[in-house]
Amino acid sequence: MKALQHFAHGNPAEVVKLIDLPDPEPAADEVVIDLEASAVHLADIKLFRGDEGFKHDDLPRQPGYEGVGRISAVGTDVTDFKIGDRVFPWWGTGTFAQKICTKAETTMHAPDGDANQLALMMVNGMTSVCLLEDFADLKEGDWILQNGANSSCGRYLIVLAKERGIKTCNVVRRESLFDDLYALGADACVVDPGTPDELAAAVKDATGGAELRLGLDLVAGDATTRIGRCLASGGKVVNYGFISGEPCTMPFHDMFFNNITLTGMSTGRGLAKRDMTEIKQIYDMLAEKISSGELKAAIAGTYSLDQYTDAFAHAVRDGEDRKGKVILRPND
Amino acid sequence: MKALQHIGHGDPADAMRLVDLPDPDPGPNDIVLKMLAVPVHGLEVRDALDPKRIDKSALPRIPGLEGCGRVVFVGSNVTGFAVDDLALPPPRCGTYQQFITAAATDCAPAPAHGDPEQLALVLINGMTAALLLDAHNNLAMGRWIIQNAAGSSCGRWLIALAKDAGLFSVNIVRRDDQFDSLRNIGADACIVDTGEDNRTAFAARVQGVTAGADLHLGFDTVAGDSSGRMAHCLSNDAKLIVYGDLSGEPCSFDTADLRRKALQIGGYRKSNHENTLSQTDKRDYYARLCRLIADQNMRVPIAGAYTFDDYAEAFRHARQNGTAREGKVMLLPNG
Repeated sequence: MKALQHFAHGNPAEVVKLIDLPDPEPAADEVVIDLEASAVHLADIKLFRGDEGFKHDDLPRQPGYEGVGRISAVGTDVTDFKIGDRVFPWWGTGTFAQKICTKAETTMHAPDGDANQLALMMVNGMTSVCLLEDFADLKEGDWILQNGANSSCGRYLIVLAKERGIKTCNVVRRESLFDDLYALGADACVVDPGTPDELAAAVKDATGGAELRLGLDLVAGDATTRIGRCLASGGKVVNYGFISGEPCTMPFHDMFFNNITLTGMSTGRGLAKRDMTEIKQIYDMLAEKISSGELKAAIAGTYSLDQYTDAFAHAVRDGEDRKGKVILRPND
Repeated sequence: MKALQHIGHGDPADAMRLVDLPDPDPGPNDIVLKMLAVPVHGLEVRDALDPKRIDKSALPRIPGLEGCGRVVFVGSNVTGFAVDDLALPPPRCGTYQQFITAAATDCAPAPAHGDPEQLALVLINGMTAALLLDAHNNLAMGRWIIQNAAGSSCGRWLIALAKDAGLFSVNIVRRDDQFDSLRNIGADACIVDTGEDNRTAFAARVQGVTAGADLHLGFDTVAGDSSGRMAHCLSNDAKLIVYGDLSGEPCSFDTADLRRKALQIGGYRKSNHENTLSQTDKRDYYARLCRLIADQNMRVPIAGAYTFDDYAEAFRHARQNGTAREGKVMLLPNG
């Protein structure tokens, strides 16, 4: 079977190679999964490059955070799965491969539906749930603000918030996205005018002056400041991504005069706060919504394992140029 | 008696004038303080320079946020004060006067063996640091805090207050010639940050001087890159309180620090906090701060002391920065 191997830090096209490995044999408590689709995240690219905070000291390693596939072999003690079952492997199991061998205990059943969409559930789906649940006591009718609203997480958030009666104000870079986001259930959409005060005015206008207490920042850089400026006194900005590649900025004055606080979220921490029963319940809920098409991310392109350099080159492209998530199809 | 009056805007030499006011006429509940030392704060300099800060209709007024005086009169109903005691006037009462007359219950006693120029910084400067620390300190004794601009007067207060609360402090300064004076007031570790090394190297140096201690609480009054450098040193779930922006730049944080460590970053507004305190609470704070001065070596450098007649010179000095003004400028209303 073929698998990608990440063996040094540097240009993704040069530090990742496609290798042949023997087909894995499951231990008694393991399953082998033939991957249908594996999501490529910006974090994968950052790991390849060894960006600040993303270095790995255990190279070579098999990359890939998440995916969806079908069971092709089961260990002797495994009773929950049989060959042919569609499953999600647990986080960080190295899904950029045709087959992975992993513990049955952390593997979860997956529903029918579009594999490319299901491949995004584990990371982006849980991220969206944690963002909605862990940072503010949101009640029906409350508004939240987010940038990067057309990202997979952003789109999930719109749908999941709507279902809870929470209204979303969505900041995007171009007006052509509005229709799409309104169709998902967005309550307000604004184009980022580029300065904090202009964005605050636009958001005030779009929300009818609603008090926004939670701002979700996927972009970082000065976008963090812009989100903070839109919030009501005592509001919280939660950074969860780094699309701009810049450090988050936050002026003293927003924190002092408007009591804005800034924090960050990692999905790993969100998982650590929850027990396995709750985690599985959340994933079941997400899987069902993805399967039904209720949660739907934009797919930028699909690539076979052989085309991995093209896939990675696509994944680092920006916004309009990329148009969604890049998916590897390891067994196509 | 003489008082310094704020009459207009512009160069403080012109914006202020020395005036004669009637001598005090205290009532039975009052005490009269002969003011020994009152600091010139940046706020007062800015108020004089910038017409946007205080409307012309509010002028003339007597500035002065804090100070220290000697009791020269005690009203017949007053208990707790005696003539010749040192005492602190009510905060923000317009201390640029030779004598302050105030209800005794609004004043606070000060220890007789304290230095009046140091005690003059308790009400505002010291209180700011005390509330800043108490509002955010839920740390067990023996834990570490980190701060920048540690040689500033608030920074020095934080050192002494942290020590008093059983905490350890690592103190970031720009020059190593400040180390000794910070250690004298209770600093456990000092480190120079010129911004030249990267965040990782800086954090490693901090680990070096703290023997790898977890840092759960940071105080940042510099902002800009300095915030991010401090954030990089903090441990998981730590709080970083930004209480000033000397650099004039927005705080800048690596997203990885924010996300992986779930840092809680916020500002601090003293007035909201102080308004919740009773007069008894405040007096307890003042007593603690006075004790640090009188009994624990707490001191802020005094850059210069000026008589009322030399007020223009005092304001000129207070406008200086860096090595031209190492510490607080004091006015001595009674020479």
